[in-house]
Amino acid sequence: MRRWWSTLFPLSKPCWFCSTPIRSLPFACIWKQICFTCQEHFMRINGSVCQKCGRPMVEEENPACLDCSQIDSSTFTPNRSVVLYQGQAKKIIQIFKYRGQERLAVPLGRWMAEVCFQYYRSVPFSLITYVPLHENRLKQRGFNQAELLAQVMGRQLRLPVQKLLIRRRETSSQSQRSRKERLQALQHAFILNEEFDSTWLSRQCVLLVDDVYTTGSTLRECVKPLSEIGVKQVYTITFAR
Amino acid sequence: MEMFVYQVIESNQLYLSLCIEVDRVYWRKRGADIAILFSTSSIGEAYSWIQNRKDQYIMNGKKPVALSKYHQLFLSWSSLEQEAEKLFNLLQGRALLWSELISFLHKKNIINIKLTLLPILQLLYLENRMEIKPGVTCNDVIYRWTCHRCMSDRKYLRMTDCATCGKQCSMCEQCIWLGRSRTCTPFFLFAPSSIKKEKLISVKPLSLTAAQQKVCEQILSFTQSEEKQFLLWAVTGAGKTEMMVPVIAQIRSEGKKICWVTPRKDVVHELQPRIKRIFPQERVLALYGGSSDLWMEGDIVIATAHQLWRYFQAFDLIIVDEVDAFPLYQNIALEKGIERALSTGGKMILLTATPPRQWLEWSRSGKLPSATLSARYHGHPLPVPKLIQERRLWDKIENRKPITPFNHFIKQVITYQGQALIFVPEIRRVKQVLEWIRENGHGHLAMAGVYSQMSNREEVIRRFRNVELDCLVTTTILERGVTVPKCFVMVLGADNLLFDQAALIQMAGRVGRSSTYPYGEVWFLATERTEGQLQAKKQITYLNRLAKKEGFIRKEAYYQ
Ligand SMILES: [Zn+2]
Ligand SMILES: [Zn+2]
Ligand SMILES: [Zn+2]
Ligand SMILES: [Zn+2]
Repeated sequence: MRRWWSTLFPLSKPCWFCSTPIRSLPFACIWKQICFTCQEHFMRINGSVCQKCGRPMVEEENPACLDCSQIDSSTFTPNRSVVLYQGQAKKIIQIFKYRGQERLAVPLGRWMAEVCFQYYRSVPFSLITYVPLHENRLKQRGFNQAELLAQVMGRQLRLPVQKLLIRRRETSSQSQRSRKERLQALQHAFILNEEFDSTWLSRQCVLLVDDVYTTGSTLRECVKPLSEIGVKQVYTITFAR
Repeated sequence: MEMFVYQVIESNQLYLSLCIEVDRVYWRKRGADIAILFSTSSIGEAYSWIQNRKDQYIMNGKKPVALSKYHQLFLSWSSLEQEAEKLFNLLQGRALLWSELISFLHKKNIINIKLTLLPILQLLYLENRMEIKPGVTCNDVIYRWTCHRCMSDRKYLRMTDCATCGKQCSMCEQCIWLGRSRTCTPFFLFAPSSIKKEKLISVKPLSLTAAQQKVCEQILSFTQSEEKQFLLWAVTGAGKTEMMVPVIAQIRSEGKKICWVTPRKDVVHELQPRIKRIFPQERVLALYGGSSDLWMEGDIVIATAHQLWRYFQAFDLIIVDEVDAFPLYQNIALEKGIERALSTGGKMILLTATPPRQWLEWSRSGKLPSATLSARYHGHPLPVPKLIQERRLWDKIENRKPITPFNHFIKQVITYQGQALIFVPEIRRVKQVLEWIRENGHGHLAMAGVYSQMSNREEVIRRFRNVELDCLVTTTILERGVTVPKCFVMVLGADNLLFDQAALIQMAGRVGRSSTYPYGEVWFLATERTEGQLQAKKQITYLNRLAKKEGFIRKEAYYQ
């Protein structure tokens, strides 16, 4: 039986990512629920970031980074990410996505929800959606990592999660192609899920979720079909970038 | 993957099928017909239907599914049999998930098999040369949920929505490092090879001490006995590898296979080349996560314990090294894995320098045949630890205040031109201790720290081994691994609960491994005297006395 005083002191429980026992309060943020060593190996993105793509920036004078200033701002969707895609983050994503450790969706998703709350506090989101996988890939992997993250975020932020998009083209492993080929393969890769009424959809404020932001082209392609039917507010969030 | 469950008409037997065309031909050749009961996307479902004999229920409820059209088998029956024979020869004694089977075939460069793989597997199943199970069984009563691959119970199983089979499906988190085991993934157990060819084994000659010789004879007579397990309690530095050579040679000469299991990857790395040098003509594999020998064929396999989940009755002798260490000790799933990898009638040798009390009792009462080797190979006694108390030890470390005994220890190391191995109970202490040493007048020493999550850990250890470092501060990860000839050991905070008797004996065992350098010392520095420290000292003294009594100690004690 638990003694009464155990509620006064932090309990010892395992770190979310390596199971080293640590002391933390049950309602502490994810950062405080991971061990010292894991903390050291995560590169958190905080401080000043590019107002568009969420890249960490040194100077605070420019609101947007060099890449973003070159892109036409009318088509731009703001993005935020939690950590840099390096070190521990890279390792954890590998274990989550490729080894299939689905349990990791919980700390990653909660952490993303915290960051979402921090940066997008004033945005009146009405629903969450995620970058879909092609049916074949989904069947092979058994789950969609972005969908799992979206579900955890939905529970944290109390927002419904909807599958708004369908991936109709199979884009084979990204790393094996040149940048141009990749972009070409992505063109019109996503279409709207016909189950949703487009007038209803056009009035929504959407949060789009993915695991990793590499060049941003996948997310931009996902936003296209949504913009086409008049969805005005789309924001994106990824765990790493 | 689509599976079928069918019944052989006029018989009560239920079968499952990965390729129903094969079954139809197979049974027709035996004058029988089959009725398909149902098809499913999940092997787990098919398996539990058969296990629970729910056939009556199906037959009452539904009509058998009539397949509108059978596909034609696109290879002749005789060539199917030939192909099956070929594949079976490669896969004997293996236990593989579907995904592992595919990587196995890739590694073997068997490319065109994709088309014929399912028919071949189905034939092997019908001929009882292979068993098919689901990775995880979960649709039975909850306490019987299990992962067939690692034999874990439901503690490690996790129900998730599965896009592969479109159902709720359970995955296993315990063996996920070897590829995901789940309800809808088939797990194949291929029967072991029954042919053992006797052969001549060439062994590089070794010189064994009288004490080692005696133990070797005990082990050889154990292999001729009815007993299944043998416990060898050998002190650190007793030369256990050499002692295993005669028994390995014996078993190999009978054409049988051997596996040497160790808890850690670095030991696999170190042991494989040594064994290879002793047995130059045998195929000696090193298996661990990410090893390049994966899926290769070996006569003597050096492996981490988890790798044994990939074998089925494949080995006739399994040597389990450091049985008392993490992760082996009291890990039921790993133990069951070793058990499953052992052939029927196979033998197991358990090696340890620090046997748990329970085992010693079993050995005394004769339940567990055993031998004790109390002397090191060079005949020097084990170094006895010095127990020293220091008040507010960690306070002083944190504030870099002088600690006389610690300082004295380091001076000792410098005087004798040794290397210091300093153990600390927690990761955060590594940095603090390094700073303490620097601030207390020893900044000129080459130092480094090491702990489990460090990315360049192997590099640091290598530098210590190559005597590029004077001083290495470490957590318990190096408790059993590293040995350098001129080693001095300091255990800081030896009263920490993490440092039990076994851990302390192991750490002390790093010292005095070389016969040419008798200066090494072991110090336990702690705030309090604990049972662990006292017991460790007591056991070391006991073993030294035992060795002396048996006449195996040639040299006088150089310690104390
Ligand atoms: Zn951690
Ligand atoms: Zn930007
Ligand atoms: Zn398992
Ligand atoms: Zn499934």
